[in-house]
Amino acid sequence: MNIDLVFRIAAIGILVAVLNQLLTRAGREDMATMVTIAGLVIVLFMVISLVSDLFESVKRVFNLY
Amino acid sequence: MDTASLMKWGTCGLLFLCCTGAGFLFSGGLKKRIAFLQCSLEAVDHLHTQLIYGSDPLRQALADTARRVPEPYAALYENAQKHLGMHMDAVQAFSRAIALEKGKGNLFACMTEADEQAFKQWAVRLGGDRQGQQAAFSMMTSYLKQNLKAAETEYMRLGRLYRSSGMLVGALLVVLFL
Repeated sequence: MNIDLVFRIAAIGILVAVLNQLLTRAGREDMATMVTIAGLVIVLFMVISLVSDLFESVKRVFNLY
Repeated sequence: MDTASLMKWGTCGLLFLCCTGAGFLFSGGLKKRIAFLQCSLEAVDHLHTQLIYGSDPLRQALADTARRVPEPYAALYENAQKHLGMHMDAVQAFSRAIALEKGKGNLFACMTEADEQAFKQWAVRLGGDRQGQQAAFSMMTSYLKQNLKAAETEYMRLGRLYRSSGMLVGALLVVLFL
């Protein structure tokens, strides 16, 4: 696993958090929620291949089918 | 640093600048609305002074005020007084003058439908008697002051949001691309 991915996820998390705060203070809570969900989806797309590898490894280790 | 890396950084920089620019553009639109309302208030006040205290007829007052107010109202008043000279009533004259100014892409681009209706109602009474004119100016000044206050509140609330959001979205896209 590339360490860059961790930093990238952290950067996205920080940016989404700041954007969330700004939008909430401006009274746009609905947009803040959408931005949070969008950030979550982006990060999920980034880690989905790693999650898939994890499940494969678990299946191999425990001989599950 | 190789060419591909340089191009990637260049694209990211450009993306960040575009997003930040878009944020500043949206914020600038709000500021332009405030400028339009302030300019309108000043122009209406000048015409009020000329018409009520100068006791000039409307066409004369418009011609004199056009020399005193800044653009784009100078052009608006100039066009309105020309149209009055073509045997149009005050409403038609002002409607035509506003339509001309709106097409020029100046401060009048910030004029909303409600503003246009308010100006037309103001023009209706401008062509009437002294009492009607006084009431028209009171109504117009009150309308502009209310909208100015609302525009300033909106700018305070949303101006910083648009600028910051533009920069943050740009930074987010840079992080995703790199």
